[in-house]
Amino acid sequence: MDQLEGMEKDILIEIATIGSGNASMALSKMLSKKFEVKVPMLKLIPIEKISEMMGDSEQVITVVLIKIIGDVPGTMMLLFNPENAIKLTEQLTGRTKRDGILDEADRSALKEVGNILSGSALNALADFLDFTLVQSIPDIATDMLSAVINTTIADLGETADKVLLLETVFRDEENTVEGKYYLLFDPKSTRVILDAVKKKIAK
Amino acid sequence: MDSNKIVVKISDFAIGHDPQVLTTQGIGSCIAICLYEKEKKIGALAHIMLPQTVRIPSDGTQTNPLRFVNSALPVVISELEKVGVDKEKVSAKIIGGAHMFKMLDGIEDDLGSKNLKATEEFLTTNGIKIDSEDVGGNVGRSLEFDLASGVVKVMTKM
Repeated sequence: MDQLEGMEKDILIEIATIGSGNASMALSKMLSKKFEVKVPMLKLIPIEKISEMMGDSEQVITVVLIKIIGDVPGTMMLLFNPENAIKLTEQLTGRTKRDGILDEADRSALKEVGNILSGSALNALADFLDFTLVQSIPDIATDMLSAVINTTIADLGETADKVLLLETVFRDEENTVEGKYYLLFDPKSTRVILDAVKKKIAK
Repeated sequence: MDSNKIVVKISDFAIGHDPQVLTTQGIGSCIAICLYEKEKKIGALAHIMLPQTVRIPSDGTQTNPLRFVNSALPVVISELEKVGVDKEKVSAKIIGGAHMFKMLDGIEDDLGSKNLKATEEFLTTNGIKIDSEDVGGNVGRSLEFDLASGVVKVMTKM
């Protein structure tokens, strides 16, 4: 799998749009304000280029990680810069953070956001394609971007050089909080998704 | 940037000599290996992602050998020998192998520990002395390897 054909790409973007639309609706409900999502970006990317694409290697970021288990194993990540992570937790917990440090309650709130976003996106995918998808419990880490990202994607590198990456940027209507949502699938999972899509279209 | 500085990216390595400095950034569960021959002041830095090639991809794709400890280190050592380094006189420093997420652990060791173990085993088997280690924990690291002195400076952000 070196390239995606035009139609395959369109289909995957369509699925991602449904998934991220659901996810942003869930987040809007959770915080009682509107979140908007940009049209997802999709690419096949070499494992070694992923963290580079996401930003400067030493920049500190907070990542919520969820592994997808089931018919199409994959990885889901929610990425915030520290400032946005704090702003979002303030809105979630109703507390004002002065020290700029995420405590256990903040981390737990962000993990819950990951759960909800990932759950609604995956449900859309599972419903549309008749898949069974289960998500792991979320985990969270704050550190240098490449240290965190390369740790989360290392397992994909065991069997693949390139992976399918879907990126969605979401922000609230007041433009105060922005985050990025990523879904990653190895070539085997990508193939399963595309085959299911084709079957669905043929019906 | 300092022209003496050579940046090593993930799944890659570089060889240099005094007065060059080899550097790599954001090592999480990956492992960075600094190999140095003191007399000649020549060294190598490798930034490796995984312990070993465990499965052969079924779709015919080839994975990058520099991504794995067991296939990358033989390449690094052979390249060092090509520039006149005596393997017997090489010593190693190991940095990284952190434990960034609890969830990624299986019943066995976490990835960082596996990377460390694979590296230690390889070096020991090949008769390369391990001078020092800054490994484990749950923190990301960056490093600078000064080939004039062999000193490795480790930086963290958290």
